[in-house]
Amino acid sequence: MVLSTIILIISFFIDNISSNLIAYTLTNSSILMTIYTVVALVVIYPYFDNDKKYLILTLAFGLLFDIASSNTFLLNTTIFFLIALIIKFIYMFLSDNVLTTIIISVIAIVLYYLLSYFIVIIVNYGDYPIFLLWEAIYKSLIMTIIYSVILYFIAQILYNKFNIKFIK
Amino acid sequence: MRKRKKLEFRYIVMIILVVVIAFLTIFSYTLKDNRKLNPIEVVIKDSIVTLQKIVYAPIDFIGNIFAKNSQANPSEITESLNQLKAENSELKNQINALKEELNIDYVLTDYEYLNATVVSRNIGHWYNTITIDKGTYNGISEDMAVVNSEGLIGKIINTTNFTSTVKLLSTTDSNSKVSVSIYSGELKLNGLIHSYDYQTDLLVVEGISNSEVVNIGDTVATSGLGGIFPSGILIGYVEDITTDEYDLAKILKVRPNVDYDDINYVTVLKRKDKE
Repeated sequence: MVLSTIILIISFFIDNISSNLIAYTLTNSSILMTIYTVVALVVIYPYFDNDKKYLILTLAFGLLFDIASSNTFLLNTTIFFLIALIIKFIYMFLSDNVLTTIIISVIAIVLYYLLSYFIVIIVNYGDYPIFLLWEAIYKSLIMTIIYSVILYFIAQILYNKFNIKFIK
Repeated sequence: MRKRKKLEFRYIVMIILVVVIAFLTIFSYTLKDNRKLNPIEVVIKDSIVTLQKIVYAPIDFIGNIFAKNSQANPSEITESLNQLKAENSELKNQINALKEELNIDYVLTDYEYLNATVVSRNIGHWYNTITIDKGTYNGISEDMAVVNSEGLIGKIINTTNFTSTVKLLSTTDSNSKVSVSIYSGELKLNGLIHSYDYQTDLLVVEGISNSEVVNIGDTVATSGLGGIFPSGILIGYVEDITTDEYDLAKILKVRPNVDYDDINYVTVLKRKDKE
């Protein structure tokens, strides 16, 4: 659990620092952008035997993301929770390997942008044209794949080193 | 049996609908710009930003080393500083004389300038905000104007003790309309920033009668109406002029002078008599 939390904390800080370093904005998306915390949620899931602990961790980081990063409240908590449920559902049918991690990471990121886009449109927060959504999705694909592969192998090395099979 | 199953399915659908509506109602409240942050949010945000600044410090240090190589030498800086001080003193005298002559209460020099650094931006993609490292502790409060040397950036929408969130001008948010003046030769026309065209990256200004003369390249600045933004802050230049569907009003597309994709340092304008 500690190792998973550390992986999530590092990913959370990468989210915050990269936003400033790469300086991507709504009108200027970068191929280096993705939601690193969401990718980390996908990578750590197979190490959890206890789904309850995984969902609590998801809710905690969703809330942290809401308050500290996106200046919202409960929005990202809900989106993260829904994504976690979908990750859990997909992993029921797929085995844990680098390819499935990439596929599920991409699905999770696409879902994140889709859900957040439709929520901001429905609650009339902004009037964003649909091309901004596609731009956000396709530009984040490369970094999602790269980060999920890197994190997959780092997690594997670390969990093996500390001899952690499953988090109970 | 089948009827019972059908009823159960209906109940499930209804419960899901109620939950979705309840959540959307909560989101519409929590996504409001003027929402007051609760004390827990303030503490968490302050702690995270402080931690983030510590983590970011080594990256910033390396960046500064590279930047130092391209800086001018100290004697050149002192020389230009003295020149600017003299110019500043002369301009202050001119402003005071003009204020008396024109009977103007406030000009930009009546604002205190608080410099701040951008610590994060637009995470979550749709919120079009930046976070700066100054907050209520430094005297910042909601609705203060945020500028840089190129012009208007946006306004403060909420604050914690050591951070503030800035809503950028490049937004389509209907609550963020800004009153502007278009300087067309000797004429000064008033209009409103209606929206932001994401395809062309231009601000859309409306509310100008079709009978008025506006030219491409005219300067657009804040008008000071509305009480949030002081008058005279540069916004951009007119790039395209069309009319509405009834040919009654002009629609101006304005190229912002600020590059919203490249904002690292900002200045918050605080009226001096607010203290």
